[in-house]
Amino acid sequence: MSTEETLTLDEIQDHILVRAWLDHETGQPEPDHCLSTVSEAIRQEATQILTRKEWIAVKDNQIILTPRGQEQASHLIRRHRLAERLFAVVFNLSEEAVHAQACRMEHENVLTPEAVEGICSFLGHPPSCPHGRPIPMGECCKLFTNEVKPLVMPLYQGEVGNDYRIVFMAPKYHSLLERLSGLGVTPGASLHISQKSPSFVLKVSETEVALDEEITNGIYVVCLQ
Amino acid sequence: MNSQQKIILVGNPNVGKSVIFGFLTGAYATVSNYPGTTVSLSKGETKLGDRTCEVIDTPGVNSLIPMSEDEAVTRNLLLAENGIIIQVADAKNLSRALPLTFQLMELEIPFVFVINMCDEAAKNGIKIDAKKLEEILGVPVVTTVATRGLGLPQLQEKMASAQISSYSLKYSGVFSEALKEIAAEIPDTVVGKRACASMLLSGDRTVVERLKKVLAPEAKTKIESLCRKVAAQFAEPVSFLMGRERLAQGQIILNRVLSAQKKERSFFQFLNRWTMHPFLGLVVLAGVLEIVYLFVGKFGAGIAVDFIEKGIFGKYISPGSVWLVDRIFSEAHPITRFFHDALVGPYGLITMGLSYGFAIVLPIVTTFFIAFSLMEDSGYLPRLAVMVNRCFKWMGLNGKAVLPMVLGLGCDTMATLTTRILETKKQRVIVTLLLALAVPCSAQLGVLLGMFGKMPVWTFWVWLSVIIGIMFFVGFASNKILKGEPNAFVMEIPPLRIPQFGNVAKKTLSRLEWYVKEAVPLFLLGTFILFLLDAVHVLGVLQRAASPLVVTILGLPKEAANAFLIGFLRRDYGATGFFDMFNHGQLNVMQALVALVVITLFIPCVANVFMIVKEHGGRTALKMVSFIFPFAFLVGGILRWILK
Repeated sequence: MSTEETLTLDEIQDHILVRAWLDHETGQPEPDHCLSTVSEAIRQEATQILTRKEWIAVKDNQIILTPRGQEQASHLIRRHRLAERLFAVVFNLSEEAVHAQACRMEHENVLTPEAVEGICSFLGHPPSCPHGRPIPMGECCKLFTNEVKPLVMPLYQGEVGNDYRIVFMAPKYHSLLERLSGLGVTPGASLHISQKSPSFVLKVSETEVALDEEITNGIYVVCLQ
Repeated sequence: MNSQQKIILVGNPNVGKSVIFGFLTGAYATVSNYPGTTVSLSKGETKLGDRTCEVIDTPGVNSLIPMSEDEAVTRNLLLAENGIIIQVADAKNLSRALPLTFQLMELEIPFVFVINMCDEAAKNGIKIDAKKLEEILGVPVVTTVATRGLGLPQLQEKMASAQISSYSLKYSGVFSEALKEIAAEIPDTVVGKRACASMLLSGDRTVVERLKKVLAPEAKTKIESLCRKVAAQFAEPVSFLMGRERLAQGQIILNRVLSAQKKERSFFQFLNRWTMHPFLGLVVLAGVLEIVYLFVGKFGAGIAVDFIEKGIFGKYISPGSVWLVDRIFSEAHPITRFFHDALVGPYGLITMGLSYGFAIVLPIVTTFFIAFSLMEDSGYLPRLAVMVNRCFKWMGLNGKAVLPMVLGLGCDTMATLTTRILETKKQRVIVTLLLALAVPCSAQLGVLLGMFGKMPVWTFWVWLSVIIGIMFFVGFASNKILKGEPNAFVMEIPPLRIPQFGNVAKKTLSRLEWYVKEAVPLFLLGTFILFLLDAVHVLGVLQRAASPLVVTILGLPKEAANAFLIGFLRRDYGATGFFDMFNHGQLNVMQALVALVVITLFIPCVANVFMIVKEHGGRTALKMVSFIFPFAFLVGGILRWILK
């Protein structure tokens, strides 16, 4: 792919911020494939602009985000990972394809704040990207507004007799995730709602699972027609 | 080389491990149709070639990261023992078996993969290419229908060629890197290094404890920081993400070996819906209870008891043994008279102990065990959990707790062990307490049903509502008092199946054998104690001493103290005492009702106390015992006061 040729100086700045965020998140510096084709000189220039804006500080050859830089980077990460979720959920793209797409959509001039909120609600305010990394919360997540009719919804809103695919799970406590996935209730799995009362009963392939309604609040699904 | 090779049966819950165990060893391990039948290890022996091997049956697990006590039993065994693993998988549910397969392979132990229940899979339109799976996994694969014995001889042949799998699972970048680094820190002496590394990365702290001795302190801190670093990168737990990767790789394999066709809904599927329907489910439940009542209460406690007690014991055994003992031990001499009365006196081992144990209780427990086995094997019990989940929430429990509670109707002691299937300590303690307090076991239930058969119908409903009321009240209160984690209801529902005659018969017989070995000796011991107390005239003293309680508070005749006394040993035996008193007109209906409520609330038996000590420690057991007995009398006193 040769998308990098068209990278503007603004976009390069974004990539530097994102890289700094990721390095902080993983705890170790890694080469950035978006920045790999950019010449050293342009990179230096972008870094200087960012330093002047006081978004980053360079210490021992390492880039550290200032609070303002952090905020900026969290928006970028949020857009990136929401975009990943969107492509994974709606088009079922592979993980690499999803990442490549998202790299282009993280920039502010591609997705407006309104669009980001729309996507977030549409996806049911997912807590993590398809790779399992956290998505920074937006204003909409705190309010959990559902102005857009969501494509992704909690399972408890599903209807008896319909089939759904699990997009992600965000249960109240973590041990539940493992218990559920041990029974085959895991992202990507298709399920059938057999009944909702007196307890929820799902069928995942050949396994029938009974569970509390509260748990189904934390399982997010899309309807399969 | 170990002198005795071990063969370990492992697999997801309810896949038929115990059936295969039974085939290999000839020993009977309880087989039922619900997840969690096996909660502790069963051991037996089999021949592998010309060598004798030990076979171990384990509680079912979905993953080697344990979620409950019974799962921990299996995981700990796998880390401690070295031998051959036979993984049993449900042919309908291979997608859940393979992730476990990958984890077991990491242990680097020779392996055989059994695809069981092939008949059910075929019925559901699932076809499996076992040859291909064998090629991919690089271990012997056997297809079986264990309940009908199909494929099991082949399994025995293939066990000899068990081998370490050549398949290697690839985790994604971050995980595989971390796994390599962690494994490098673990010394080579540790068995299953790769498995330990992946458990550590999954955040399983119990493994750290196990490795404490062999792990250098620096290595420990290094591993800890590595795990933490990886965990910090993800919003979801590492164990879950790794599990997802295993699942995904399993799916890739399945796409190559599995083909499925859609099948129409069968009658069973409709029946399945009815058993869990909010309204029809109650109708089904009422129907099931009615049938059990007719079979156990009317037939077992009525017809069968009458026949054996009045017919066989009353006409032949009792008079016969009296005649015989009269000839051997003369009543005239004080010493021979002692033996005479010990055997056939009012508290005689034969006239009281044996006739209670065999004439009254045995027919009742037999019919109950049969009815109960049918419920277990049909798969009805887990469906009951779906129905009662909401009410159980009140007591800090969830629907899953219905399994040990209903098992308690069979035997509270065994049910106390089954509480291991519950995920939190709090739930286990509450269920253990409720079992000891308010769930009558089959022997007692039988005696009670037999007695209620002779009393007005309303007494039964009063008794039932008092016991259920107490159960909810105590459950509710302990939920408020005990601290503990929240508990969520997640439970697998096995398919409905037609119970197999052979298994029902075997299970009933093995439970009866247990009853005769465990309960009858206690009956005899209790009788003998009563006899001794009576012979040295202490019984009268005890009766007088207990009279404020028994006579004044409960309003019973002073002889009722005898029944309470033996009730400390076994409450069903105590109940049998009241049964006898009632039959001889020593209790009126009101008194009988009060007595039955009190004895129902007693601790089931001495064995049950030992089991509580074993599972929860002496302190908890002591607390429970010192709560239950006074509480039982208190409830009885209140009931008498209300009825008056």
